[in-house]
Amino acid sequence: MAIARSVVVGLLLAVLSLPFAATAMAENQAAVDVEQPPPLDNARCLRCHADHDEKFVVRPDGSRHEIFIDKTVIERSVHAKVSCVGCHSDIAKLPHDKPLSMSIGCVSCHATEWEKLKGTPDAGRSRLAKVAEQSDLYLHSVHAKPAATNQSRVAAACHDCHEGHNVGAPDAAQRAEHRLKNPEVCGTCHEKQKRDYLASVHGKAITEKKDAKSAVCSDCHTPHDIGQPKSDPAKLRLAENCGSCHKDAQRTYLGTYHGQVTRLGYTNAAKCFDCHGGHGIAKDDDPTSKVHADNRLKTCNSCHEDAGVGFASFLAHGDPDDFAKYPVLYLAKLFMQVLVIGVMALFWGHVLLWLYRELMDRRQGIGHFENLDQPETVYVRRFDATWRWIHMLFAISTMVLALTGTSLLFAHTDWAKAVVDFIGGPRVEAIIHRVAAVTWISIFFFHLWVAGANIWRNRASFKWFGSRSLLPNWKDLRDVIGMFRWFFGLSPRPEFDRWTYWQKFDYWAPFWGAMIIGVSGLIMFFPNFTSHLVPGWVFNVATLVHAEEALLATVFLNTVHFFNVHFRPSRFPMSTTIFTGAIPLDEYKHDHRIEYERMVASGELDKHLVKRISRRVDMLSSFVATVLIVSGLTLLTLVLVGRATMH
Amino acid sequence: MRNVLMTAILTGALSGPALAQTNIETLARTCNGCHGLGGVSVGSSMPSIGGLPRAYLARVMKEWKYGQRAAVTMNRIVRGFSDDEIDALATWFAAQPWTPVPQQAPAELLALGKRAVWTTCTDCHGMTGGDPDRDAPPLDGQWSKYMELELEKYRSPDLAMPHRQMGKAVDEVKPEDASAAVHWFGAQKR
Repeated sequence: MAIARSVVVGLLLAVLSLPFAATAMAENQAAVDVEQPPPLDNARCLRCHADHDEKFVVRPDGSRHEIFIDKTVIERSVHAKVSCVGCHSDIAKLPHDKPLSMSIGCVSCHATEWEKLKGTPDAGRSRLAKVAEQSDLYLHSVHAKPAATNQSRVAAACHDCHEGHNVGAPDAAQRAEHRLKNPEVCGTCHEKQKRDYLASVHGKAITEKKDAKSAVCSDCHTPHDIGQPKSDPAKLRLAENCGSCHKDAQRTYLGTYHGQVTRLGYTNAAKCFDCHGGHGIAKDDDPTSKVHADNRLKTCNSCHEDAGVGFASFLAHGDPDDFAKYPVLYLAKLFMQVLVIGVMALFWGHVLLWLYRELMDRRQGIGHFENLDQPETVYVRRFDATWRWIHMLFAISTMVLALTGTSLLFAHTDWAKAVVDFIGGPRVEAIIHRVAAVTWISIFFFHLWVAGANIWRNRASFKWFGSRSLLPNWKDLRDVIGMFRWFFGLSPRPEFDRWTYWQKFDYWAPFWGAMIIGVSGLIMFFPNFTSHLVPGWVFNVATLVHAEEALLATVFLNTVHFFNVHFRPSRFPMSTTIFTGAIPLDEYKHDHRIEYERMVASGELDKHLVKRISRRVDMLSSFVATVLIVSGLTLLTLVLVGRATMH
Repeated sequence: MRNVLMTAILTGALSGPALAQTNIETLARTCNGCHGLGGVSVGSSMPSIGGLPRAYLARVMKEWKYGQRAAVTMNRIVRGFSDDEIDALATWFAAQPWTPVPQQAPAELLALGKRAVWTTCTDCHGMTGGDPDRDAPPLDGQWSKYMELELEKYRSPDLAMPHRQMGKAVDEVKPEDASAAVHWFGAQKR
């Protein structure tokens, strides 16, 4: 009875529920279109690929492959919203081909997405710009070239290095994890380098000390811009990348010749890894380190074959700003800077005051004016051919020395790179610098010889402090005081003999320069030889004072000397006397009145008078003077730009 | 059935060096009793096996032989074969053309079955059962009765059925939907 009642109730319920069941079924069926293939959503992929108990498959050839994908990993990755077939785009249906081809177009997808986004308000916030940039670097890298062992695939595709399903956003935990795995990832192919790295100070810091800041492969080699290790761009990039962490070491290295050549974009000179080693780098107190005190000279000898012991004590990272560690360098720099600033302050002050006073005087008609109605036809022969040629060669060799030297000193500037590229690289530059140096020193000694011979020839009548002597005398001191009084309007301009005090300064300055620049230059001229005689720090001091003194000379000559001779109002725009040897009589009277009056009194003047120089010679000398002045001012500009942007 | 068993036992007893030269076609002929000529079964509870993937056939027979897969009869039969003979049989049957035996079913059942296949089975067997995954058998025109029996085995907790993905799929789908699905597959022709 109970059964019969249940059947009746059941039937009633069934009949009553029929319309609802039919509706539910219709709705359910309407939800999907079974005539179309089911959508390739992630759930279908993960049915097989997220099975924790069956993470591997065995292929017909017997090889075992992991197919497991951790769902939580994908959900945390930057690609969480990308469907599986968004990347595995060659899967058009399930079941898919096995093994699955790895034709995943990371680069094209990112490029397409970036193209869509470019120019929109969201572009600035998007990481896609960075991804596109990195993709481009990758495409030009050695990894994007065909693999040596299998030309049908690239050396390393995106998924070989990136964990395809676990790409973290910047600052995400995956990034940090992936960074620590970097040596393992690269070591999959680069096994020897991995072994060396793991034994290095960088590798041990990662594996033993868990120091996530220690360098991994991509820190030095960059993640995507990977070049052939033997190529110049790759070497230069490596040297640059060391500085990302070792900032002080890079700064001090760039101050050395090695660093300057590297900064110019050449690999002729030692780079970080040449001295410190590459993958197997060790701390300098480690006996296996290439820069350990016991191994250092041998390391130097790998480039400088005949280098003496002085090389081993060269301060490759000497810092003239660090008194505690490098007191000698500090003091040398301090001395040179005081000298440069002192000299320049004095003479720039002298120039400005002179300019002011002469302009004031000229407004009142005081001073030397060219008479345009009666152009000067009589000139005084002031310099003979020897001195004119000496000045010309001196000027040219000094400018060549300054240009070739400062293009190293200011290797950070574009102009320095352009100059060095133009002349053919640092090797050619070194040769040109040395040729100019030999020329300069030869002229210097030739002058000493001629001057000495003249003195000897006239030894009976020669007066050391006579009117024609270039030796400073008391009148020069009085003239200095007199000029400053004139600057301030306290007295008229002093009158001068054959040589003014500023001309004497110009004359004696190269003696000082020859000593400082010459001696330091000679030490660096033959480094292998001198390293047998002097300790390494002498090279550091020599480099420092050579550069500072050269800067002083360049700035002095192209500002103070140019003003005194060419740019002061009575001479502007130039004087050609040093090129023609002749000075207009009127100008001579104004600038060297004492000598003029003495010669008039003694009747000597006529012997020195010459006819007005020809128009052709006048034009030629003006042209030469213009070229030299423009060259000097250009050089000055380059040097000032270099100095101002130096860091 | 006794004949089959006897054949199998005799074949097993004669296995060894003497059988190394046994003509594989002769050996395959011993399966005809149940699986039909060329592996095209004529009995609704016996599967067609001609044209199944070689890897599938070899794997399933070895699973029976080594007790990893539940069976009533086949486990005893294949124990009589060496692994080489199993491989040879798998190769022979895989080389035969797959011949569907389309079976009739009510349209509503087929519609329900198609839906179930669409949601659950197609990833491995394809929509019609004719485009299966590499290590899955084709099911188009397979005997639906046989397939139902296989599903029973998957549902039974006491029987070892080692294919995990298939086990998971069977767990996911309602029995009536699964039953409809096998009718859908059984009705397909190529």
